[in-house]
Amino acid sequence: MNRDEMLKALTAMDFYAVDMALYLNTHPDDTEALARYNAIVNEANTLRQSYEQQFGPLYSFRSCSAAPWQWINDPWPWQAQFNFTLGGDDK
Amino acid sequence: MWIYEKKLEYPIKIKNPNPRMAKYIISQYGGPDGELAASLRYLSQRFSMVTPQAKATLNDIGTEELAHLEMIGTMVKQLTEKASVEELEKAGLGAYYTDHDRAVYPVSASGTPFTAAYLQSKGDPITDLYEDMAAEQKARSTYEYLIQLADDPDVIDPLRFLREREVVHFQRFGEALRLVQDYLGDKKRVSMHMPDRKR
Amino acid sequence: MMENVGMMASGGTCIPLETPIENVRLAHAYVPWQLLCGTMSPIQSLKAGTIFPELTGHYGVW
Repeated sequence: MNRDEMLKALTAMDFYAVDMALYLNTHPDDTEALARYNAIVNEANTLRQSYEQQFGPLYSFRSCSAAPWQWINDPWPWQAQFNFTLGGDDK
Repeated sequence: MWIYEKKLEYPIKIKNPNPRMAKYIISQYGGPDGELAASLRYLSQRFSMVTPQAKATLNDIGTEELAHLEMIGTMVKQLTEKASVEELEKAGLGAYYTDHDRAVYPVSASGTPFTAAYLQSKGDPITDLYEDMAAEQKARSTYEYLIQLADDPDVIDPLRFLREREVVHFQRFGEALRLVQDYLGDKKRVSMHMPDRKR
Repeated sequence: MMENVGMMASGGTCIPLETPIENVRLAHAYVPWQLLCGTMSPIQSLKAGTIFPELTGHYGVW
């Protein structure tokens, strides 16, 4: 996958986890929901590791970095070129 | 504590400058029903919440609102960065430009600076949750008005995303309210039947 | 405590909310409890703004 494709997949999986986590906050006993959450988080973290290896750290204070310190590198998320196009009705 | 993840919750990639839309969208940055008010409201109210579910809900929705604040700031920046001063002035941003250039500053669409008067942290968890539900509806309506004002899909798509998040947050606050109401009050044995629905 | 699984009506349709709402009091508001039925794929969810199809399409179509 190229960077845009990876970022798109990661963004989508992380969003799934956010929405499911909010559901779990009010439904802590829902084991089905929890299974889906854990599965997505594992898949997302595998992809995240891959992304960081190729394109640099996604976190300061937590991710490792090559030299020189990669965290500061452009583009930052508010720059248009950082972002991928979500696009039409592909699944 | 907060750790920042270096990516947006939803992608913002605006090709065409539009200072007119920036002037409106900035209301969801510094305006009465915007994401700064939302994040401060929930992250402040969480300290007086009861039940683990409600504390987590306030904490996590407050956190997500910071991600939305970032999206709105990003939209304003991308909508104005390539516009000329003439274009900014023509779009009604002359006064804003005077004080801020193309910087992002927390104001409403009418230029009123952000104030904590936009939020309440009342201490009574039930009162706070009703405020939160109202806030989500006001934010939803505001996004609907912004969607009506916009015509660029690069702008409309993120606004639609943010609008839907408000509906989901409303549902979660509603559930937190149920849990807190049950926790704090007695149950009377009354049942409310749903009107007949098509399955 | 509330059931956490969407009830299966006859015919196998999952109902993603509790019906009816029990134990109501005057001067209190009630949002129906959501129950898990299905979720959309991550990409579909990102486009829709939620993983839950039953939380879309409310308050008009946008």
